[in-house]
Amino acid sequence: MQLSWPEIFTFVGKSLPEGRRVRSTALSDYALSIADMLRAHGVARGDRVALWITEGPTQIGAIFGCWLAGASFCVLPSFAGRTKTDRSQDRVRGVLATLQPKLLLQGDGLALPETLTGAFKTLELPGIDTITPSGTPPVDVLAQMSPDDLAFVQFTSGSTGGNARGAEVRFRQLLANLDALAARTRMTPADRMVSWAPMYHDMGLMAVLLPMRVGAELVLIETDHFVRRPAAWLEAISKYKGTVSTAPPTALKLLARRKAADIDLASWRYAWIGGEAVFPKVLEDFSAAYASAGLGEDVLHPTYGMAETVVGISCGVPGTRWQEMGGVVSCGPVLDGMGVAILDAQDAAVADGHEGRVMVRGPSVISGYLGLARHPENAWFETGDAGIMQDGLLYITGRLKDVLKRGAESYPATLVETIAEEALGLRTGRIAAFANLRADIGKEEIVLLVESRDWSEENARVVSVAVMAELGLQIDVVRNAQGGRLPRTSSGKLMRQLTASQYREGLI
Amino acid sequence: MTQLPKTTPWSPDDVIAVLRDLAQAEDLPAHLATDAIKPEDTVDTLGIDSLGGAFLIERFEEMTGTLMPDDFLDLSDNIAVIAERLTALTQKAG
Repeated sequence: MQLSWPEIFTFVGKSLPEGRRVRSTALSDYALSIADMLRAHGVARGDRVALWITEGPTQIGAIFGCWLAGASFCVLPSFAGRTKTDRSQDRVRGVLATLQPKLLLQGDGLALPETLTGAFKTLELPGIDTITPSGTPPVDVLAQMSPDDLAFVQFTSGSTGGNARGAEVRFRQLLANLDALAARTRMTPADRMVSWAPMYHDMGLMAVLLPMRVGAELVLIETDHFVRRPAAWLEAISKYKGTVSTAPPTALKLLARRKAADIDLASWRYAWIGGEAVFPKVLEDFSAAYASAGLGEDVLHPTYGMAETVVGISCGVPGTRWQEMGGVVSCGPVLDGMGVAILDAQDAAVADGHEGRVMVRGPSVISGYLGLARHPENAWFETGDAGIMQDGLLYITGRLKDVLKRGAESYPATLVETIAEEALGLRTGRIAAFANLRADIGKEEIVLLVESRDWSEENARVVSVAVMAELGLQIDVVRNAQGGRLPRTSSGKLMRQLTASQYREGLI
Repeated sequence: MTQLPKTTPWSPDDVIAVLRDLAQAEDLPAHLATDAIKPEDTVDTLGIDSLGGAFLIERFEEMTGTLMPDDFLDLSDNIAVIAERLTALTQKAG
């Protein structure tokens, strides 16, 4: 059980637009010093440590410092920074109450959100420059850990109020997934990963840990730097000759239009595209935009996965191009060691080419959520997605769970509905929030359908502003059901998926 | 798409026209295509998030032929301030 240090890490951010190269020996020394600080603050083997740190050497040092101290970590989700309302504060408190961190690590110079201030013992980490390099070889960061130890906790989009769901990822699950991904993507020490994905997201963590499984280099870009200047991502691939990178399709869509100039992408051999629905149009537009910059036709690989499987379930084979079936892209063959079954409503397996519920099992499936019931080992896990297997390739055709996605961030539909209903003074169950997959514009459109007899066009703005203020989420479409009723069960429960289906068919 | 000469000073109405275009193109919330939008409205009170803001910047760059600085747009900026900033940028570039 080991991770391999590359010789160099490169960090890019707003304050480091030209990039800063840090030797592994220095980062290892820094992680060891953080481990010492953790122990001095009472952190012991088996404890959990919360991280509120931006992407950079401090965050990587903190992650490895936790493991060196025998502790697990949790990069707090972005919503921990959004605490304008009582409900959003409750959501953060729910996460902290579930996580029960022994210590909260704060990035140097980074302000703590109000809800995190004083909630737990906090340690503001000094920057890496405060450490005097020892010149000794990098340490084995997993030396204190065993396969069944908790590696990290990742809170999922379903975490609301007192229902915080923190996926527990143990080292045996983490390493099984990293090995399967390394094998599928053919990662070697000669590769160089470039990532800007935040590490509270499974894709972001994978982008940091996958290269270290094989000793490949990492170029890590601050997420906020990418948000303010998206071209910085492709410029980094060009400048550092990145070979592997990861991004949600929204990033491709944005950069197909806001083109990065004077770049060479010929070194890029594998792009892990996921985190939200992937549409053919987005892949085609991006490929066309950067073909002249040397982007190969077989570089973009739509993938499928989730925090409950560490990150990956399926992804494309290098050297092959993604396939399209009825406007849906293939997410490659299932990873070695993982099993996928497509079941109908009666739990019977469907034939190839037929749509059903996607079930997954294998060595990377988590054993449960923190503080909640265990998931039996090797039992099938319901992904909440619909899909099709065809010719050995997995196609994800829709989402059955009540989750909305935008830019790879997930939001519970029920929470969005509650905020909107309160904003309009409506009773519970009078608004349905759902995703409308728009292959024509390459977008997962977020729709709120309102059942109200007292509707005015201004209500759309009222709802949008309320959701934006509380969740930072842009709502694309707010419509009134125009006198119609949203479909409900006989007991009065909103049938969200049926509402979405009827909306798509123009029946509402 | 709205076309403006690069050298024209930007007014709040020009910015509002861009918002309406992007709403019709389905990059920004649909209600912005028809809502009453005032110069003092801020980006976030129009229901636009950081990703929507990125599409807004992309359109400004396309129209002005000028790269926007990294800190050009904050979601708490209002329409009038954005128009002033665009005017200053295009004058500087011109």
